Amino acid sequence: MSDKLTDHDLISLYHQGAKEQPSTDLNSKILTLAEAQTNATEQKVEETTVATTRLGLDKSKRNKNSSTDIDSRLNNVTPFSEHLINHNTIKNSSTNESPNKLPQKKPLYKTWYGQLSTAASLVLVGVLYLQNLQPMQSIAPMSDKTSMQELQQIEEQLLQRKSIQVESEALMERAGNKIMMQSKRLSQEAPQFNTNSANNSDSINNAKENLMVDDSAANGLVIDNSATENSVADSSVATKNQQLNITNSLHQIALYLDKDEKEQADKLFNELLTNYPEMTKELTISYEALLSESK
Amino acid sequence: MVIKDMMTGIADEMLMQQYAQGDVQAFSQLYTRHKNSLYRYFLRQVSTPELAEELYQEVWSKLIKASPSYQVQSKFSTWLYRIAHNELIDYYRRHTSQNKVFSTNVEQIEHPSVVENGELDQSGQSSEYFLSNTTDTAAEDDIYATQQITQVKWCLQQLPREQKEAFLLKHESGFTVNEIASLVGESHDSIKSRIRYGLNKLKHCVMHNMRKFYE
Repeated sequence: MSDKLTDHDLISLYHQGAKEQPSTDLNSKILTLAEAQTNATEQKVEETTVATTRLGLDKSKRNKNSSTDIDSRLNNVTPFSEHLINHNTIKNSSTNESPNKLPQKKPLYKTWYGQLSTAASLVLVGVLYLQNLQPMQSIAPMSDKTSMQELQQIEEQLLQRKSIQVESEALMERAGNKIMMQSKRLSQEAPQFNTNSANNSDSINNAKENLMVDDSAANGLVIDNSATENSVADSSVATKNQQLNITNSLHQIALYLDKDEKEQADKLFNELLTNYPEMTKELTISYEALLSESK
Repeated sequence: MVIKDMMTGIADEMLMQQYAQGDVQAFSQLYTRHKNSLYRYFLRQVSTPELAEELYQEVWSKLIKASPSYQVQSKFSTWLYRIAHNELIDYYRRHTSQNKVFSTNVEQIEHPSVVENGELDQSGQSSEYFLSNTTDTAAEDDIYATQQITQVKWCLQQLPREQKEAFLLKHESGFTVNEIASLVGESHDSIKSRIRYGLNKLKHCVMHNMRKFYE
């Protein structure tokens, strides 16, 4: 017996004593487990391969719709697939029967009811289209037409207003000029009427002022007219027309007086007074001025 | 030696790949190569042979289940023992009472009981003592050797878990220090010191017990 024990001795002693082994049962259990795992894996691969093969066959059947083609393809299955099919792991009846359970449906569009439903759907769509086509056509242009008409009306109104404005301005200018010229002529050619000239000139000035007032009023109306909205425009147009009528009538009266047709002038003046009673004062002053001019 | 080891390693991986492809014989061969050392790896670290068998079976079961996805990324034996190591760690976690670190004070270690066949009783109890009755010299040498072996086994069981595992992986399963470090996830130096301390303690324990036995 030695007192020294080296590492090597110790390890050697360990190896001498290390003789234990797993029991035979345990070994066989583990080997069985390993075999079962292998079988399970093989079965999985097998099922996958068979399923793939079947899917391929089913697809070909759908495409060609021919049983003879399928039979020929079944005969052409590779030896590996046959080996897998014949393997003991897929010997159960359910797996063998499964080809009969594969989906062999005819596509819906190929069946009579499928085609009928498609045709019916198309007809329905056509009918709906035709039904909705006319209202769609009539509604859209109408709205366009209405808007166009409205625009045209507005344009016409604007043009009318412009022309009325221009005409009234021209008439007012002409009337004013004529009165001014006549007053000048009278003041120069009739010195004997000097006594009355002051009155005449006053009346003329009054008439001119009236006319200028009217003119400015007309201008104001024009300005207002341009500034106001369509609803206000109608009233301003009526006022303008009134002013225009008065101016025309006064012009006509002046013409009658120039021709010494006093009756006609009186008649027209009376009509003016009748038509525009609210302007009696202004009209009287203007008429008197014209009378004095004609004398 | 290195070439032989490499060849063996490659052969292991090849066998595993063959098994993954459905070759049961390959697995059988692989199993035969590693079964004893793996079994003893567990047997030395748990309290009962039944428990060692249970863990041993679990490791092979896991390996078998993982076989379809097996890829050669490391040595097969490293993979196998990593599974075993993890299984053992899980076991220790589940049974914390088993996870105690044995006292390394060899003075307190009691003399192991010996049974007829020289094996240490797993419970640490023995009913038969025969050493005192032996008189023959030749027989005495045998008894001495047997006693030494028994003491080695017993002392090994008293080692701290980490040192015991490192010792077993090195001297039972034949891994290098680097491989053990990689397998258990520790540094090279740590494993080296574990093996060194383990061996020293084991030596001290065996010598102490043998001296005590003959006193």
